[in-house]
Amino acid sequence: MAIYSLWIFDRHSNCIYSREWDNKSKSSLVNVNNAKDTAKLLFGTIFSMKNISQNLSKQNKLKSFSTLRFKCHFKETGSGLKFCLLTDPELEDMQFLLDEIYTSCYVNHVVKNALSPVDFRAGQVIGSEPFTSDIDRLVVTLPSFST
Amino acid sequence: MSKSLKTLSDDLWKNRVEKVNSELFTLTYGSLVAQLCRDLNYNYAEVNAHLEKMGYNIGLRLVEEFFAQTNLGRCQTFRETAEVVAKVGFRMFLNVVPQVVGVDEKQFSLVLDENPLAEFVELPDDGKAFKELWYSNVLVGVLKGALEMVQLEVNAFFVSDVLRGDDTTELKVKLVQVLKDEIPVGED
Amino acid sequence: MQIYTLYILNKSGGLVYHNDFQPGLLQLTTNESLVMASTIHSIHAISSKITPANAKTNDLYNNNKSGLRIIETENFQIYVYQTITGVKFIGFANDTNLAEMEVWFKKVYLCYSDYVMKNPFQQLDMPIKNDNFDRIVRQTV
Repeated sequence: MAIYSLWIFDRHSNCIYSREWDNKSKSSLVNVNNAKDTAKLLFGTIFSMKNISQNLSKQNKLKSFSTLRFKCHFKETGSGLKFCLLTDPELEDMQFLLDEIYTSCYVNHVVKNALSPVDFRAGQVIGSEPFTSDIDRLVVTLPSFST
Repeated sequence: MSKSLKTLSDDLWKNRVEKVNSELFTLTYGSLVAQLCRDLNYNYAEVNAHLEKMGYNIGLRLVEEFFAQTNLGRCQTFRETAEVVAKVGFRMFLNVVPQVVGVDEKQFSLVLDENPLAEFVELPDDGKAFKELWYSNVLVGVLKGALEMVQLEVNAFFVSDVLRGDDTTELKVKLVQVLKDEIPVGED
Repeated sequence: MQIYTLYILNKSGGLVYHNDFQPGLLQLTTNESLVMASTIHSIHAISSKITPANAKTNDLYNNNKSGLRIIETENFQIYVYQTITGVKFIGFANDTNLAEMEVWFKKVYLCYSDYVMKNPFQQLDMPIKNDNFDRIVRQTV
């Protein structure tokens, strides 16, 4: 049971935050892979799936998608902010975690922080340390997070 | 692994495969080959080519039936492929289990002790048939077509045939290449 | 378990079969369903590229299933079943789970190998217009 990574995209389709949890590397993997292919492919995939779900049923919201190797939990806020959490495929529903990350970490450290941008330009990321450590605190204490 | 293949094929043969009268089957195939010979003026090289082409088209479709009934996954090595083809494939469709000999990563041979296609058949005595006609060449095509659908390009051909007076009926299969242009993450 | 629709895609991602069993989803025009089918085909391929590096590799069968399998939305789920030959079966369903859908997909695959493959006039990779196949698939739902 493991949680692999968290990605946040804004409404301009930029990746404004990424956090990867890897047992093997001790270095902190925050905002390392934002411009890499993985982020772009992930965004494209999510975007296409949202389109499909809305074409088939009005007012439908994408919740997650999974393959044999991983599962991606998705949450989109009204402001166009998209949260993607990649985990083990057996984990059931992580919407509560995404909700908590939005309400406690994002709103507190990004929105209420006057010095942090809310409308990110291309290339800007959420660099705030407390944001990352809050997210870590939420994720690492979960029973499903393996060390 | 071979034990489980054997039980799988036994179970399939007993329960999941519809059977037909073997006489009807032999007669049908026989009249097919005979008519082909007549139509192509006994040009045995062309008859062989036609049989192989027919077998190819059969193989393309047969492979879906095979996977739908057996639920087997990909084979990891060519050796495994040879085992599965002989023990499950041949058993399922012809109820014979050829012996697998000469296996390595690039080729294998199947030795058929009995060949239901060629029961009671004697090649005509016109001097050419014994040297040129491979009566069961449809099997060559079936193997080529079926393996191509799982991204293995092979060359298959008969090496010997009891109908021609040899001791055994032997089919050689050589791997040409693994076709890489394929569906996501299914490695061989 | 409610299954709304079945799509079948060939190796190259082209739509060869489409059947709606129950109403419940919006109707799509033929063009829209073609586009949707190729979209699913592409994201199936892409999703195997964005696998995290430290994902567990449990290759029990190693058979073309590291691509997309389920898309969950609020109102329904999309299940994708890919065979070793590259044919994809896509089912839109609700109130069910992956295990039940796998059982159903295997039944449909059997029907496919029977009624479609054994029909000599059916060209491979071409659209399937076969009343027998329609009937038999409806019976499995």
